[in-house]
Amino acid sequence: MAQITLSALSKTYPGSRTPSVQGLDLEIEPGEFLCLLGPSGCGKSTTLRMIAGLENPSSGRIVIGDRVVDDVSSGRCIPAEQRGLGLVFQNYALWPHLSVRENVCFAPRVQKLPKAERELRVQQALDTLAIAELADRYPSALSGGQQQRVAIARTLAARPEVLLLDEPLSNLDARLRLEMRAEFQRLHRQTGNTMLFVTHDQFEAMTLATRIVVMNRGQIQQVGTPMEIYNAPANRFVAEFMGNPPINIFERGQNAQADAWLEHIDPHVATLGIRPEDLQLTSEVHRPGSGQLTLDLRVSALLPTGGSWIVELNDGARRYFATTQRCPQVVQGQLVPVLVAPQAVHLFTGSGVRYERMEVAA
Amino acid sequence: MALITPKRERSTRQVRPQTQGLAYRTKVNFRHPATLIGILLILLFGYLIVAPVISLLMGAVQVGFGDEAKAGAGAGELTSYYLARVFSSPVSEIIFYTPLRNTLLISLCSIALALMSGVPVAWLLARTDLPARRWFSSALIVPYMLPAWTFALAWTTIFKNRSSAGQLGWLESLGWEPPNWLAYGPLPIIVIFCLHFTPFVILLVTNAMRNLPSELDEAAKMAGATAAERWRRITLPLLRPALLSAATLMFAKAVGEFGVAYVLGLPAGFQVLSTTLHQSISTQQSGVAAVIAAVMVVLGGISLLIDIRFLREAKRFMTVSGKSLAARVVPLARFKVLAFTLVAALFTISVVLPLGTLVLSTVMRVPGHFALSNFTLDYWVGHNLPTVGFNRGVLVSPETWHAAWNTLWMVGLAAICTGLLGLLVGYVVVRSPLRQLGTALRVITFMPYLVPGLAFAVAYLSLFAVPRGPIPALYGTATILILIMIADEMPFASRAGVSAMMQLGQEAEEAAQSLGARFTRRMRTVIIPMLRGSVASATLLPFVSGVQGLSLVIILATPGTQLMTTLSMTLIDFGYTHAANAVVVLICAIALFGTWATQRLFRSNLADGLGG
Amino acid sequence: MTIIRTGRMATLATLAIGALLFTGCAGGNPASSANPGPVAVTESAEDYNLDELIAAAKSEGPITIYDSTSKVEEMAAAFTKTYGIEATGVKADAAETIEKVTREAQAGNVVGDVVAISDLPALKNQLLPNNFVTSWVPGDLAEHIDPSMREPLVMITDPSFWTYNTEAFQSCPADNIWDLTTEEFRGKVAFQDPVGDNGALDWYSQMASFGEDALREAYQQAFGEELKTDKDSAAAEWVARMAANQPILTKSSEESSEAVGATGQQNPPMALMSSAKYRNIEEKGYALGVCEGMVPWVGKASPKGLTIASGTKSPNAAKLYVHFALTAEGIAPQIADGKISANSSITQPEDPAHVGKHLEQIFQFNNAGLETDWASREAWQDLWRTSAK
Repeated sequence: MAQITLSALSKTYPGSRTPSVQGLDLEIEPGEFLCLLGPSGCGKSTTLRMIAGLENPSSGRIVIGDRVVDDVSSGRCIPAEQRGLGLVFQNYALWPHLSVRENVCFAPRVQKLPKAERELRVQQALDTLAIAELADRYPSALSGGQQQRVAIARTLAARPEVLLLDEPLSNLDARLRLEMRAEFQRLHRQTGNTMLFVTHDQFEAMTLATRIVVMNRGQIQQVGTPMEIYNAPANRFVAEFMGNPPINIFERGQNAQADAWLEHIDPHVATLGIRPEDLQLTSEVHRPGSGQLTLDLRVSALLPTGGSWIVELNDGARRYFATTQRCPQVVQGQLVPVLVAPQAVHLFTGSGVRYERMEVAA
Repeated sequence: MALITPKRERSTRQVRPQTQGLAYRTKVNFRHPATLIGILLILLFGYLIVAPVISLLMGAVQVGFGDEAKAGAGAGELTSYYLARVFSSPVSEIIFYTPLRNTLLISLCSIALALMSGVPVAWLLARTDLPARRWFSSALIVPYMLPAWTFALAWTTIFKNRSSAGQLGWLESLGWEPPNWLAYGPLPIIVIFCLHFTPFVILLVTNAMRNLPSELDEAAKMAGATAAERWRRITLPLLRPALLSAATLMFAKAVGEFGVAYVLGLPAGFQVLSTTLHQSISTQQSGVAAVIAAVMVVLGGISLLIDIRFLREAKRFMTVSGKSLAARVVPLARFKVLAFTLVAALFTISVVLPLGTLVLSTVMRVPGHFALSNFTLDYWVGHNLPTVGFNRGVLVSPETWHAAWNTLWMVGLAAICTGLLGLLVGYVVVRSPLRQLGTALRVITFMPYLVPGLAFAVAYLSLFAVPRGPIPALYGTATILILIMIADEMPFASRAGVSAMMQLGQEAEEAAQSLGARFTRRMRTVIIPMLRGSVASATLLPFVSGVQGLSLVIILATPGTQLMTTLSMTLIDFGYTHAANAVVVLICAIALFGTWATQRLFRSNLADGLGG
Repeated sequence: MTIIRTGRMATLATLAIGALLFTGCAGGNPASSANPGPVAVTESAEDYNLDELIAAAKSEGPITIYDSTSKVEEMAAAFTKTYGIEATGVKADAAETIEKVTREAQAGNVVGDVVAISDLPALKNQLLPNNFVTSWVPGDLAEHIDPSMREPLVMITDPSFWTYNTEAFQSCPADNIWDLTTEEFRGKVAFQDPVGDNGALDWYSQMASFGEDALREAYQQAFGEELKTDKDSAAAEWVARMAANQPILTKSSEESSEAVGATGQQNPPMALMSSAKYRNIEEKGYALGVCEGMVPWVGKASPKGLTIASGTKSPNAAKLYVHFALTAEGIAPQIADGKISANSSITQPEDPAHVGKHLEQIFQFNNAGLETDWASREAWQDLWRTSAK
């Protein structure tokens, strides 16, 4: 099992003004299933490719296990083919001129294994992914999900200590995604590999990863378990990026009721954010208790999503979303008092950093 | 198809001038296989292309041997004598300005004609239910496989008149003497260029049309545009890159092509730049030849600049990333017969007539005398013919087979090298972390396109007649022929290589890399097999041009390295027209066979070889 | 964008400079170091011993001969057979030979040991003064070689004759070369395009240098009056009139022979063509005949020089080949079709043009005019071009 350490890793593409990755420090523990999450262009794929050795950092250092594979200051660089990592591409990158078996057998061949060992490896990889019956087909005759499995099998046959996955589910339809997600979790349990994957889909990240690294503009925003990330976003970006519908943001001066509530909390807080599921639509008007936040919002739309409902609200200027598991007893155009538990409110300073209250007024 | 398109507009400057990590970057850049290959390729092409071109151009301003007295300076010193002689002497008008005007006239007219005939045919082939269109789309390419001068020979055989005396032309022997304007001079040259060039237009435009999503046309139709409007405002502008590329290509060919103007222009005193170039070379006025060659290079350069400029404009609306699965077929309905007749007529004029004339001329003792007794197969399979220099039929003469074998292996080897080198150039251009390497390679490999073959060959002769450093004297060896064929075909091969590498994308290679495969294995097991088709196309095109190319090799071939084309020229020198024509027929057969075989084996197509 | 441009320009400039250095270094400049050494070496009969030469030659390596005709292969084979010295004949035309000999000498890597070249002016003015080749006359044969053919040594002369179509005409339709410039022969004389043919240009120059009187006399004879011309010579006047008379220009001597000799023609043209083309009478059934009695000359002769590369590693074998080429046995393949050996003791064999019969009436090439020929090529080319209509 290998640990991966990134230190002060930066990458600026030639001709680009802004760095794609900037001063990244990260430790990836052995056996971890880590996810790099962020919007497109945040540098997550670049980071992955730098670890793989397909891109070269402009500065910084990458250590895999006990090997320094990249160290810009000392000029050390180990090429991708000698790093012993497995990479599964977004588009699978199966070689169309080789059959499934030949694709999978590529790495054992490169490693010059004896024939018996090669066949064993291929068979195991095919079995692991349950695609033994596809062995003699060519990639063009496979469905998207099958191609995905072949791509993973091909990587597994190399027996890498670390498996890198670049947006592994983005090219699959919704059903297959679900299936493959379970597959990945099984794979992780079964092989015990360190797995690192990149996605822009928070749902994927939340469901698969043991730890998530949220990135934006080339920098790490937060590292934590999925629940930490969701429940205690380190800054406004993480708060807004995680969650669907997105978190409701109240800037100071935007909503009188929110402002009033903020006043007695802390003068440093500039913004508050409330997850849609934390907005409780009530049918009767409550006196605002001390510390309790009540917002009077008007219902502008009711959007059933099947098992739950999304209620679109507004305060005259902005839209907010609430979600509920039970059918909301409201009608469109109705002015509804909305209750928020104080501990559910996320607070952010003027610079967007999470603000931890020392004590919530009782 | 831009001939040189700056594909990656990334500037090379590093925003943060960072000295720290310089060693690292240098190491990374130089360890990248593309960098190493790039440097090797630059050295190779510096030797094969840049050095000959520079030495050629230097001839225009350096006193040549034997010209010391005329130029009033020692050999090798700088002089303006040649420039003055070409541009401002009493004979300038005759040796330069008139030929220049003629060249422009010929090339522009033939380009216009070729576009006018090629574009509609391309449309018929790409978009309609024209009967036998698959067959036609191969058949109409055949004129490209015939050496251009064979058209000229066929033309003279049919149309010659008394003003060049000698054997009767076919029309003469049928009782009608064609007038001079029909027999010689600009008109036949333009017609022949047009016939020879139309395949380019068909190839490139058909390809472009197939890639045009038919939704674009349908959208215009829904907006109420008439067929004419749709053509003018949608289809033609979208085809503009293809048309321009075809035009640029034809222009350079028309400027450089020597044989046709030589055969048909001389009897009418009609000179173009390539024929004055030939005169200068054959009277050893290498300085004057260099000046004229330089002008031809400049002309080619201008056409290229125009191409690039227009393309840059065209790029604005080339944002369509259309991959329409199957272009809809336009039913021709009642025009079917008419369209078929026209295409069949084009086929007849550009393939059947010239080839037929050639074939007939090899089985008739006296040209144009259509009597059964006059037909014979002697020139093919006879023995003890009265022609002492070549006294056996073409098919039974060992010289033919020797030349055919030379042609096959030399041209074949050159073509394969060209295809692979093109792929390597593509690899460097697309992959190298040092972008300048790619740019330099593109520019260098494009140079031969601008240099007339004759002048290029002369430069090769003077550079490689003697040992240079570790390289032994190459004149008289097959190596020099192969090298010059490689160099001359690099423009298309490198374009094809770049576009193939771009289409391939990088993931296939990276996948292999991440699985531990080193560069050579990646090349061998992934890149080359995946680009098999493109490599085949990039090989096919040089093969076809190499098999029929003459001007490049005529100076460099020696009796030991006789090729089919030079054999046919030797036979013409002897006046053995029958045998010469029979050899040309064999040349066509080899080119056709090569094309057919490559297409069958690799499903490749010539248009890909043009990088179009 | 500008930065890209300069980057690219810089790349290009670097390349250009690199290539310049490359070609520059390689090219060298021998002319500056050239010393016009001994142009021709004629050994006297006394200090010459053929047996010694043969012995010396046999101890040397194989040789290569450049010649403009494919007959050279035959000759080389015969040489090898006679002396047991490996010899290879390579056919190369004058321009190629000059280029190769020059480059080989510059590089000090001589491939062609013996150089036979039909461009005597170039030989005299380019190859000999730069000491790329030397002319050597075998002592035992010198007496049979006309002094005008020793500097440089001439191997053979190639005669050309004014030729007419014997099917269409009983006898030659012209009897004076001035006739050919008249209206009657407008478009009725075929020439290999002189602008691209050094041989023709040198012939004009030779006529101007050595045929002035004969041409003037012939003019008098043709038109009954003295030639008045603003040109430098009668030859120039003739060339100008000829060019203006819309001659049929052909790509080769072969084509001229077809233009003249093809049967079934009405009023075919005349042409000046090499005696070798008379083999077409046999091969192709052409009707070709020599214009006997043409004034002032029935034809002209073009010489081919025979020299030895100065840097040869087998000087004796090369000399031996030169000697061999001047014997009846050695030159046989070349004189069979009408070429004339410089060795006057060799009997001319019978040939289709009956060269032997017309030898006296041919305009002979004179080596004394070589410098003038060389210097005036462009002038003759220009005269033809400017006079053509």
